[in-house]
Amino acid sequence: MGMLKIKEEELAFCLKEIASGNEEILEQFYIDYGRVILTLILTIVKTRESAEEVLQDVMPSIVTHNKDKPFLNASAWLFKVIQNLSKKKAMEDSAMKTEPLSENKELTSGENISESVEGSVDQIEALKCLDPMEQQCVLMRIFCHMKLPQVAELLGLPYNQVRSKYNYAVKKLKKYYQEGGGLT
Amino acid sequence: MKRTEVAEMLSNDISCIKLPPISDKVLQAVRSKKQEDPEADESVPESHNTSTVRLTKYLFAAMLLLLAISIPIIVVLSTNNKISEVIDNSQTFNTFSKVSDDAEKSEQERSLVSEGSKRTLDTIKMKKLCGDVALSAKSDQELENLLTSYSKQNDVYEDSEYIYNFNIQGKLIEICRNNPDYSPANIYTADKEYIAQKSEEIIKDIFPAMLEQEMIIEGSEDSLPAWFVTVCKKNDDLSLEQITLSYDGTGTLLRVNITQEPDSIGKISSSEAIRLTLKEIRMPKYNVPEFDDDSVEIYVNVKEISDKLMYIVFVNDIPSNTYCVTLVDPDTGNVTMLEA
Repeated sequence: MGMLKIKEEELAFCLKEIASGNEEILEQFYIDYGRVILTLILTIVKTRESAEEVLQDVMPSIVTHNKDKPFLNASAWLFKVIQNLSKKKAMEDSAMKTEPLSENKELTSGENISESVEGSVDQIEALKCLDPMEQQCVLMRIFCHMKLPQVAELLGLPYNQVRSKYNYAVKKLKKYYQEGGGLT
Repeated sequence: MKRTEVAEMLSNDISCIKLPPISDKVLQAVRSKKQEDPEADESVPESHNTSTVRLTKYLFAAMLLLLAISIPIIVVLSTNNKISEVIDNSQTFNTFSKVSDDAEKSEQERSLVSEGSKRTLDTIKMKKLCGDVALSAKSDQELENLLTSYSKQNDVYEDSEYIYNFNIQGKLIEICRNNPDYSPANIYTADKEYIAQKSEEIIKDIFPAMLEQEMIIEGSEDSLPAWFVTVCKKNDDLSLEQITLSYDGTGTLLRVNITQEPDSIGKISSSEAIRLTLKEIRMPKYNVPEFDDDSVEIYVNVKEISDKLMYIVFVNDIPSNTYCVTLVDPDTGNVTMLEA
């Protein structure tokens, strides 16, 4: 079972090795961080199937990265990759179900896709009590060891809003687990 | 229930997710990458114990780092130069101009004068408030860990209590405690009134223009930071400036974050200015290394140039720490490259 919590130095080392073609590290990385990455993706895309597709797209992004470029802020870089690919997939899924996207619609416009596409964490009961943004705040803070201002920057939200969402989310999770939600 | 316990239980839940196998496409990609680069073969560990290999690599890297640090220190000590001079010079090397040669010493001096004048106002203000502050002697890695938005081009000052982070424009963007081991006791002695009073004093001293604005104070005893104070102001240039101060339960200031986001100042919106900038910097004439859209960070601000408001756009490629700065005319969309 993986370690789940992402350590910045180790992550940077792994990404560099993967970008250099180290298959063994790739497999270890996948075991260590795959579940957290998949959970993060599930906060943005709607279905498990789509999330697995995105997960398989995240890995080539690392492999094809220029190995000579250092990863100075590895967790932020990785989250950006996850976020961009997930949003793209969410938009594609959404477009397939509804009308086609207008020509001017751009993924980088800063539009909050999560607001238009309901996130779904279908296997983690605890996270179901949180909205997609709260899920992302919790995962990035707890598992990626990001500071809340950095989370705010990456999510494109005001800092105080992220802080409120995070505190509120932790309270909800506390309530959930105290009521025995984690026991099966 | 503590937060760590919540995190632990959530970890257990996430551990139960079924992970699909790595696709053949990914494995093929990594194999072809290895074939492209024969040197990568040497980096493949012989042992199957990945942790041991990682540890060895870390130790080797640490030794190299120690060696790299010790050589300049020995050189500096042997020539009786003051360390502060070295720090000043190193700051110069971090500027865009990338002065890299002793033969260009006069260029360095000019650059220092220019840098100095850029931040004179803020430095005086800080000295008035905080006493003697000096350029930080901390390493880039230490500063990256302590600050939320540090880049090598930033100017960072510190005193015994706080670190002051100035962005490339010379604007104070963050203050944080100068003690990474600071661990506030689980004591809640500061009430809302005390926090309001203290925040008002800080804002009055450092951000007087924000003094008239409404102060939003939020607190939660079971969290750290315990208190958050937010002040927002719409500037004349239409940018929205926000200052957030955080305190522990005793009312000790932990961190101040200053953000500024511009609205539209002409026919072209700030997001359109970003799009035009990204298009411009990809032109071959600038010889800018290829940017990876996935990893790029963009900041946009408003600046008055010859009595006209312009967008100033900073593009930072995180992995390579490469910066580009452009000016975008809000009416015509004309992009002028300032730094690349």
